Amino acid sequence: MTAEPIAQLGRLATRFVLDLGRLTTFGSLVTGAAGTPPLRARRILDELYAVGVLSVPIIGASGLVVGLVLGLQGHNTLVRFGAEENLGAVVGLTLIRELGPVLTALLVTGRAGSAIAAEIGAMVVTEQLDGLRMMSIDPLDFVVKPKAVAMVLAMPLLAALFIVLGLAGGYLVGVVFVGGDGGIYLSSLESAVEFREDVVGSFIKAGVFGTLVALISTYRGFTSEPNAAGVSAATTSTVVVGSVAILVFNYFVTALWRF
Amino acid sequence: MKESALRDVLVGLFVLAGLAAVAYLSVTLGGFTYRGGGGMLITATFDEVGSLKPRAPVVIGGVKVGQIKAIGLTADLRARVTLDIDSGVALPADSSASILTSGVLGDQYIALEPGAEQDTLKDGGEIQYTQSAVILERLIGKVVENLGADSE
Amino acid sequence: MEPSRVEQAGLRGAAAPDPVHIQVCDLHFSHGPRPVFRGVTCDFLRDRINVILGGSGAGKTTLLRMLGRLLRPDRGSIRVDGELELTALGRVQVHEFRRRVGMMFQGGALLDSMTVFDNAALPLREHTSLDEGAIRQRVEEVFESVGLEGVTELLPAELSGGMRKRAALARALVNSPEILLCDEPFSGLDPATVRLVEDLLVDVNERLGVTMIIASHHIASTFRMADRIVLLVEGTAVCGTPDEFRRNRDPRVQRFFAGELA
Repeated sequence: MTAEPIAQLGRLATRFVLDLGRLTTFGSLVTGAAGTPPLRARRILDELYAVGVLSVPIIGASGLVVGLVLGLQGHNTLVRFGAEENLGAVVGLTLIRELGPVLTALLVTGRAGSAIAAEIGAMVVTEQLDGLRMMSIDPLDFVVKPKAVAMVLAMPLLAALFIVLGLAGGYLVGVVFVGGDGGIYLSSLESAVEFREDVVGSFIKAGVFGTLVALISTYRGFTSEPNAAGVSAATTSTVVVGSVAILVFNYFVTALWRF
Repeated sequence: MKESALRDVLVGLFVLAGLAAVAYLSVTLGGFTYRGGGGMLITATFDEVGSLKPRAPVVIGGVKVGQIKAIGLTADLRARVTLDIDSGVALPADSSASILTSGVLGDQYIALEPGAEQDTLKDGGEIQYTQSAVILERLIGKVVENLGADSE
Repeated sequence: MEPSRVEQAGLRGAAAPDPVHIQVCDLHFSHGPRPVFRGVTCDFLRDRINVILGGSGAGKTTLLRMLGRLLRPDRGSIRVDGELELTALGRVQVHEFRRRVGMMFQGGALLDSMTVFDNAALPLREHTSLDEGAIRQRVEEVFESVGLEGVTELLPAELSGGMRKRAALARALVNSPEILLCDEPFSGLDPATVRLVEDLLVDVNERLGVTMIIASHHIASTFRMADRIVLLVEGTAVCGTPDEFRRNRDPRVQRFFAGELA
């Protein structure tokens, strides 16, 4: 039965496209809700706490450690060419252009993205969303919108913190541990980093990733099956799909921005 | 409600820290400056601009005073470069512009050498004295040529 | 029991509102491959306690959700006040209709991130322009009428099952609805608390004159409190008063009670 795997592939592809369509519809509904009153500032602030503040420890620690590794690897490689004074530039450009936005987004997806999906999924199971509907309150506006907005706002801020701590990590290795010159590290860094090409591009990536994770995590939670297995599937799917989407979009944004 | 107040403070701190990080990356590292109006646009025409790119720095004595705004072609097929110079830079009308390379293999930029005249260039003015870029390949080609000629 | 609004209107000599508040006609519905409703026809009386009775899987919750427009039948009609066709409403009209309805969900369905007070105040804060003082007054009033005191600043998770039901009831009543839908209000409660909730619901019905539609499989409570019973059995419905049911010779009804009481 050689037709069976092909048929399965066809079904998979159809389901994928269908899901994508639903995701897009969902996304436009949420965006529409984001643009209409009420602002729900109180709830957005609460969600900023959950997504932003609670992610700071992991983002900060990871940023520092990644910076340390970059410093180490960078130094070891540059020494071979006698170019250790470029460490600042190497660490800085790597962090700002790629590792900062991408790693931050992946970490946030794992921590906050999965939490959002689980929370919304649990609300589906316990009929809280139906409860809102019966009170003529749109769950998309009341529950989803604040979480999505908070995620989009928080991501660039978290990426910036990751990068700054990473630069500090590189400094620790290059200056404190190895004994290089702090001034050279910083000036190498400053002269290599370009505002439009590097910094702006980095924040655009963070914004795009924030939007992706916001969309995927809320969508998965919202459409999860109303049982425990469904919520679990929604959480896992958020992390998997979200991570892949981040890496794929990273390529496209990088390619387009280089123009 | 006390819990909520503490959370709000933390959110505020988080946002401030994030924005500070953004500012550090943009201004200190990226060299983003708010250029309030008043910059002068000055043109200079070269035979050869090499690999000069827009937004490359314009320096006087090693100090950045502006950047390249645009590079185009004149009617007689020479390269016209438009320089965006910071306001307040009093550039004598007989100043010269040269295209130099940063290091041996680095990016190219424009260095201005101030002249001696009293009059200064204004917005829309043109630098008369220009020195085109050195193309490394041509230089090497000449050296090889000369070596070949010597060995005969 | 004091005369219902219907009877009162009759006494005043005014044109009596139709005793039938909601008319359900020939509903058909399948949950995937499994047929649930095979032509359900019944009606619900205004200002009375109506109980939807049936075994598990009979479709009690499904019918209730259809009355709240959370679900739509494959075929059939649900008519409110003889004129509003529930199955044909657009989104805006559904919103408007729901303002007249309060729903008490099986697990309470209170938002677990908000205090009980904020939960009950939510409909008022969202849909009315009352100031905080008026809202507080109204919410405390409703809490008192359902016997919930001193717990307003707690989270739903910190309440007992019985108290959570009361809070859910308070939230459903806070906007003075015409229709109250209750999904299994007695589930998960011990017999003593069941009696308490029963008395509470009867009291609310008497004082506020709300049309109550309760989905339950609790036969004893049903026979004690219902003015009208809608029995969902084998994909169809049988309606009547408790007395009529006791005398009913319909084999489907017999089979149901035999099975339940066995």
